[in-house]
Amino acid sequence: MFLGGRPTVSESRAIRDPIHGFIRLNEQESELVDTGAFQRLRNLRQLALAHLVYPGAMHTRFEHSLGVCHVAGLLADSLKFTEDEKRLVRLAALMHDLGHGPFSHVSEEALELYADRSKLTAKGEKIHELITAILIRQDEELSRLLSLSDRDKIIALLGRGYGEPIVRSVLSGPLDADKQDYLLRDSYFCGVKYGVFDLPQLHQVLQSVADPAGGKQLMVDPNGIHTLEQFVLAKYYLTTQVIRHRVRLITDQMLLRAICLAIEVDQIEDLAAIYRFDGSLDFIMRYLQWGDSKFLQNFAADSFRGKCSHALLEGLHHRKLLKLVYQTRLNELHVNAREALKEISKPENRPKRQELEKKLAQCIEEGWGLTKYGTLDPSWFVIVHSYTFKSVKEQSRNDESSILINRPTPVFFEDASTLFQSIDEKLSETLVEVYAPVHYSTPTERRNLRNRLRTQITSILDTFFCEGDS
Amino acid sequence: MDTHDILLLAYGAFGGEIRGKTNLQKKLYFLSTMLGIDLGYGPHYYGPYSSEVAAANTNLKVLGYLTESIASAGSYSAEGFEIARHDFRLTEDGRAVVESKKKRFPAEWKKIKGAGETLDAAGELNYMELSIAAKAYFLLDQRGGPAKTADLVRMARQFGWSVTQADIERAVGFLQYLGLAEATGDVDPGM
Repeated sequence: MFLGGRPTVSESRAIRDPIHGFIRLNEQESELVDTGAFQRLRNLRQLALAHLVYPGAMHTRFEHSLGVCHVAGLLADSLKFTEDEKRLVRLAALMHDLGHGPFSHVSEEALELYADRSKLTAKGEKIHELITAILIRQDEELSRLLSLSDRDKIIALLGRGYGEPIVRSVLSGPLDADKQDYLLRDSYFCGVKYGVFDLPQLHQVLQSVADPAGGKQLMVDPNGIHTLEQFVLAKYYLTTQVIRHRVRLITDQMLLRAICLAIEVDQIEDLAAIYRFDGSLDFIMRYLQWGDSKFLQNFAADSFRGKCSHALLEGLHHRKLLKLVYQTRLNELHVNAREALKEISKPENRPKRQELEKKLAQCIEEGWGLTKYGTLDPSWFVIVHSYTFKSVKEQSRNDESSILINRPTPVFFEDASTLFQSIDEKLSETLVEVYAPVHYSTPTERRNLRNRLRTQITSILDTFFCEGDS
Repeated sequence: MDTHDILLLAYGAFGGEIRGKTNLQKKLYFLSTMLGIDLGYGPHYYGPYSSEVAAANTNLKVLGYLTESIASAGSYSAEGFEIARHDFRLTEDGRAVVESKKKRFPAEWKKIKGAGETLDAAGELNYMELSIAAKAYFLLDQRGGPAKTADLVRMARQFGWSVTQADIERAVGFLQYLGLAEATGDVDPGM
């Protein structure tokens, strides 16, 4: 038992939920919800620090996991799963997020950077998925409530799949229960209408189709194309407006930089221990102790004042954020810069990145002035970051192209949708941005700052990766 | 070396162009099978599909390394499932990056080039024939043991797609050439 024992209540229950009304759990599910591993999800906000942009976004992975379990059950009913398939997908849905760490996706990146892969047998697996699998397999409370066979099936379902392909589609794929819940839930708590779609109608038009070669596949009724278009657009808008909100990108990068500085420069062992995954139970026990609030309160505490990581974490705590000082499309830079910046976050590129950020810091200091954090080297707080922004059509092609419309000869969604055929697909772009501790008071000052630095930063990015490279 | 790099070198090996999204998926599937690389392929109605490969291809386009053109449009779903054919071609920048990748990953380039040449020599299949070959091989591979010609033919017939006997023959011949199927003598006369 990792988080201390407490009596479980063995009864089925109905839980009120603002998105789905009542979420009904059977006795086994109810007991799983009462375990320490599941209750811990109350300490992990679904959207990390998005509440700094959308104050209502305080919901957690706890209620999201309940919601995914509920939606998975509805999908299982719509697609006429067997009772055993339904039982397993609901259990897997309930437990799909158990391995998340503080600030979810930021911790995923940090785990990938600092895990001790030499001690792992599964070399290519994502670390947070390995943590989920270890928890499901070895946690004492979970082991008591689930047979070994069920635990193995759930781990397989959350990984490469188990049973019919359609069963896995409910847990992982373009129409999975996770997306269906988070679109509605994140929209609701952020107070936006971007992620809204017609969930009951979507379930009406999903079909389980026998593959003549064996197995069952998930397809959409030809009358459901508009419902699917609405779902795809909902996902696109929520991604662009909430998940990829410009301030949220900055807060995530600040967090990640703070973690890197805490481990590499400040050498804070308690923090390093959260991310040096080695596959052991000891690691899991430490890891599970941490949630979002505890992390911030602990490492932004006065006892760490003067440390590089403290400056950033305190900034996040008080919403004193780095500012976007530069943005350009990656394909406007020299081809060498494009390739190098695309993989600038990889651990092996750290020295090169530090060197680049030092140059950028010097440029910003000379051109505008950097806010100082005592005697700390200001280049630690200049962050270069690149990411891809896909058009709705590109997003639909990558993520939804595997959705088939169930015509006599099944066709891909993109080919069947008149709306998606007409969308200009040239709107995708990979952006490179620079964040820095600068001060401005008005939008005009902000514009002046960016205009003043634009040519110089472009020149640095263009030339930096060409020097000495073939 | 990641999917981005592998895909760039694959374009280099296939002469800088891949015609059709299905061809892209299936050629990369066979390449990954021949080289023993995991590119995230999973089961799909029309044969193995990897969203990782699809995403990497989009990124190459976004970075200005590929151009995309729609070669044909209009419904011909009576004969097949690809309504509009999307062709991808390396740009000048793309070719420059491929050249730099060849120098950076010489051993991997040699393998990918070799596999690409073997795939080309196995015959220029249309997207439907490639799908038959890929799906049949994927399903048999998951069951374990070598794929037998007769099993492949039987399986391909079950797909229910609008394919001719000649399509199936070419698909099976393709797999045999690649060494992914063993010839057996128990194929029924209908073949």
